[in-house]
Amino acid sequence: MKILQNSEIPIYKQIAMQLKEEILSGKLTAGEYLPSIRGLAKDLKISVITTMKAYEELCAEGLVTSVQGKGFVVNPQDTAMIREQRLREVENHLLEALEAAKTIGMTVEEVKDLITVLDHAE
Amino acid sequence: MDSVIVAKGLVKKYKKFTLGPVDFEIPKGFSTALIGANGAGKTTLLDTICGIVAPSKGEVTYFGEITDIEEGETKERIGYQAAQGMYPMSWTPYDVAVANQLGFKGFHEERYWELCKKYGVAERGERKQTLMKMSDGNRIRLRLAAVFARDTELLVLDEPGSNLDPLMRDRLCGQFREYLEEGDGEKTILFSTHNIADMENVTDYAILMYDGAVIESGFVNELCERYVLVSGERATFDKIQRSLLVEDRNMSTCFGFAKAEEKEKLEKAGAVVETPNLQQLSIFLLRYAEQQNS
Amino acid sequence: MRELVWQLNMKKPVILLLAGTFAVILFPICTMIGEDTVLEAICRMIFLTLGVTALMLYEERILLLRGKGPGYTFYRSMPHTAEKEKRRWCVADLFLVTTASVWFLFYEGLRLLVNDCGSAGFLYALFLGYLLCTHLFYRHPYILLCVIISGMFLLGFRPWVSVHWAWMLLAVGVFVLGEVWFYQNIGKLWVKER
Repeated sequence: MKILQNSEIPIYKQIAMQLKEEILSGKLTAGEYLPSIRGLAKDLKISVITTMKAYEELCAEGLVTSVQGKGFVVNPQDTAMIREQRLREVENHLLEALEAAKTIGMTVEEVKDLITVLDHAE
Repeated sequence: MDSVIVAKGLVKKYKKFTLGPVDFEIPKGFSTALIGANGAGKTTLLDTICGIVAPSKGEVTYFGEITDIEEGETKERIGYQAAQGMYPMSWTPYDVAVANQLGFKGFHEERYWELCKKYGVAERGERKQTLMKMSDGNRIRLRLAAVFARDTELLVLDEPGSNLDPLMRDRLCGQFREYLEEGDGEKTILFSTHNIADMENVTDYAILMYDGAVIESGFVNELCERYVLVSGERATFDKIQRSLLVEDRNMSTCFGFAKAEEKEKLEKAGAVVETPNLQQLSIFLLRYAEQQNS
Repeated sequence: MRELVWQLNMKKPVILLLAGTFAVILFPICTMIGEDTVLEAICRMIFLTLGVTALMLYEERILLLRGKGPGYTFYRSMPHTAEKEKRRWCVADLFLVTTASVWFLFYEGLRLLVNDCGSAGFLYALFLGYLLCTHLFYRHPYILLCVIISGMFLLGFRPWVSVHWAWMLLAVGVFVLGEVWFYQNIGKLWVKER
């Protein structure tokens, strides 16, 4: 896991985002346990409450479940739901891009072209 | 959440200082920082709950059921280290080992000497150098080696980070996390500090003290979210003055500190707000307490 | 040895009982050895030392219980018998030690006064002087108490030089060295800090 100590994104968010990525991409599979909160805190050199908050966030999103006395287990992921979620993310990013485009007077057509150019460049 | 210590109406009266009455809880499985200025009563509070001095009034419950610290093996389960005067100054590292061996069942001499070596304070079996001849930093290292060499469920450390160099303080934080991980929710740390910045990333729960009273306590994230740091122009500050608990006015910009409920109002007035970190929160809360007091 | 003393001091107040009993039983034997001999004087000083040691041991325990003095914090952080139990032991200690010491010092002083004995009395006075110095050094109120009580009985006593000079000096030397060794090696674990 990568942690930026001085980033604007809170550390618990960074952890949650990376674990979410691993779960959604299938790196962490259903039934697997996340590292213990205190073990992860030790490895990342951060406080226990920070890792706990990250795990609670994942819990709230339904990605993992807290098992009494055992830790946090990865839930089986609904592929259709993941797709849905990802789609929403794409939507959000595009909306942001459109907002930014508007501020400098770019038309939707121009944005579409830019996307095509970027896709080719990649 | 389980509490390892619950204090109710705790009072300790001295001739010139009175602690409390204070009520607080120490959550089990976490690291709790007791923050306050010098003379706020941190040491008195720690001494009172660890049975070093008897409380004048009030009740403390240990490990969920025990109300008398002298009962059975309660003290065996608590690893207490004072900031000063823990051992007679004429003792050597060897004497400290002997004393702990005799005093506690769960003391591992082997582990003690390993830690002494790791912290660079003494070689195995050191019988020459007395505490009197050691630097303050080395005395703390020795005390830490002694307390970490014991099997305990609750560590109570008075100012463990002061007088330590940055490297050793980092090592201490590592030791804290290792202890918590070992316990897997069963081991707890309570430590006092007047400099929270270096210990912030091992602090889960904080208790802030001012002049013998607990002024605020809670899990760090929740605690910090109860308040906001405010920044803005002088003109803006003239408008929002009444919402601020503490303020700092300069020519070019002003800083302030307010309750989180005021956030919207402050933003509407044109100030920028953000959630403080523990260090900032401690400073402003202590300043606020001081302001209220005078 | 140090571990043993430490353990006895920390965990077994019985040592006080033993020290007291020892002094009480052996004192009459000492008086039977003969009067005004160096051997007798040495025996007396051994008992006086025992008495003072016991007092200091007691004082140390009182300090620990009251939570005073350097190093007490460690003792108080250790698991103990219940506070009440500790107090009871202390009262017992106090009774035993005070009775033994006062009786001992009183009897000793009276004997010297009555017998007007030379070398032994002089040696005894020297020893008291030494105790006084120890008190100034360690600021131990109980040592001062011993000195005052003994001194009172010595007031009417006129010491003069006798034939046992060499023996006396040797005995005093041994005692002073013995005391120093005691403080340095064993006593320092529980003797009050300077």
